[in-house]
Order: sequence, then C-alpha cells, then structure tokens
Amino acid sequence: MRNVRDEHADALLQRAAGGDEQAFADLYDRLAPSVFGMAKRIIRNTAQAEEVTQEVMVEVWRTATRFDPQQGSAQTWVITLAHRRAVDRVRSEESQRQRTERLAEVSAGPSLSDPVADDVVDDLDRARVRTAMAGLSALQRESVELAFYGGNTHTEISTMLGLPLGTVKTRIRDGLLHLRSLMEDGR
Amino acid sequence: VSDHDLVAVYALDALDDDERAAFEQHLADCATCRAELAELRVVTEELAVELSEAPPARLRADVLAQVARTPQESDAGSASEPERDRVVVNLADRRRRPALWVAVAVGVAAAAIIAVLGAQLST
Repeated sequence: MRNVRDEHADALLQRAAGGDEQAFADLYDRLAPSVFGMAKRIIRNTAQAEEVTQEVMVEVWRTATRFDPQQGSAQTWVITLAHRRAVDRVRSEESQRQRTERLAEVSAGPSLSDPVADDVVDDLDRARVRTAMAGLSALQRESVELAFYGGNTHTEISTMLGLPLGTVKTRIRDGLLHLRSLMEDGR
Repeated sequence: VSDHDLVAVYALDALDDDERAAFEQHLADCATCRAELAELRVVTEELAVELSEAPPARLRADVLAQVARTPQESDAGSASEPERDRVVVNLADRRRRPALWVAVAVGVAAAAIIAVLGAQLST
C-alpha cells in the first residue's frame, strides 16, 4: 500500500460530505492540479481539460457521501474518477482519424510531461516517477503509456502494435507491477 | 480467459464499456483482484500527480459557484452501489405496502357497500 497517505485530503473530503464548502475548497486546492494536469495530458486540449476538471470536482462534491476511507484514500478516489472521465471524453469526442494522429503523437513524443516550471509537484516526486518510468522495458512502457496517457483500450493497443491481446495484457500488468516496485525503490 | 488478467488493464481504464461492466461484476466477488487493484491504484495515482499543473483561477471560482448550488447525494442515494440499491428498493417496497393495504381496504369496503345496496334494492 502507499507509504504516504494524504490523510488531510481524506479528512477534507469527509467534511465536504457533510456539506462543508470551505473544506471542499481546500480539497480542490489539493487535488485539482493532478486532475487538471492529467486531463490535459490525456485530452490534449486545455478547454476540454478544464471542463473535465469541473465535472469531476463537482461530482466529487455531489457524491462525497460515498467516500469510504477503508476502501482507499481521497486522492485515489478522485484521481480514479478523473482518469476515467478524461478517457471517456477522449473516446467519445474524437473521431477515429484524430485519435490515430494523437496515438502516433503519444507513441513518438516525450514519454512524460513537459518539464514546465511548475511548483505544484515536488521536483523530487517528479524525478522519482520519471526514473521509474525509465526503468521499464521499452515494450512495457509503450503499452502502459498508450493506455494511461493515450486512453486506448487493450484491444486497440493490440491492433496498433500488431500483438496478441494476451501479450498486451501481460505487458500492461508486468509494466504496472514493475513501476510499483521501482517507485518504492525511489522513495 | 481469466478475469484476473484484467486487473491492470482495468486500473488503466483500458477496457471498453462492456468489458468494464463485466469486470466490475467480477471485482465485486473477487477479493484477490480488489487487493491487487488497490496496489496498482497507487501507481496510477503517482503517474497522475506527476502531471500536476495549476488550473486557472477562474476554474476554481466556477467550480465553487457550481458546488454552492449543487445538492449532495444523501447516504441512501448512492445508486451505483448494489448493496445500497437493495436498501433503496426495500425502502420503496415498504413505502408501497401501505398503499396496497389501503387499496385492498377500499376495494373490500366498496364491495361491501355494493353488496348492501344490492341487497336493499332487491328487497
């Protein structure tokens, strides 16, 4: 399990569930940057990333009573919801042609976010994630990136890479498990 | 094909809608997969945090304004959870039951009145 759990975010979400708008505003300040940055990376459109961030954060408010800290942290809950929303947006709104172009870009482009000056995340955290990503085999990294950043289904990835579905599943699973151990080593 | 293979694919949202729904059914019954999913979520969370970027201040104002006029679900209103669905259905049934009794009582009373009236008319 995670080494560092943001219990403050958990407490804020629980207070928000009781209707505390100030607690929700504080939660927004903590979590919206991850939601927005991830949505922007997946959707590759700032205006739509803002819309998704708004949808996600309002849904967090609306359904806050469902949050159960026994099932995971507030941050995990919000990011899980946000990734799904961003991926759904990409799948529903893009034409197949645009997607194909974007896929090419995702595979060819830099594997991680641009190193823009950004004080939201600790540079050490960023470096740790980058180092972990770099520690994957090229094949594992490719499949993980096409799924996580590209919003592609495993079936699509299998078609794009000309690989059997089983191979893609294995690469994704091995890639994520490998990332996990590399991230822990980097702490 | 075992559903267990799909935990990581699910964690990355790399299933289509039908596959996702099917896997979520499996997940509800499989503690092993739920445990593995919790482990993998830590990874996807780190990947997301790494992408953090401050959203525009205007967005914060928009979200907080929308939140101020958006009612929250009550505890029983979380419709996506099967257990709570059952609770909601049960409550609804319970609410319907008195209505049924009232209808039956009204019917019985009406039949009695008709019977009495019929008896009076025939005499």
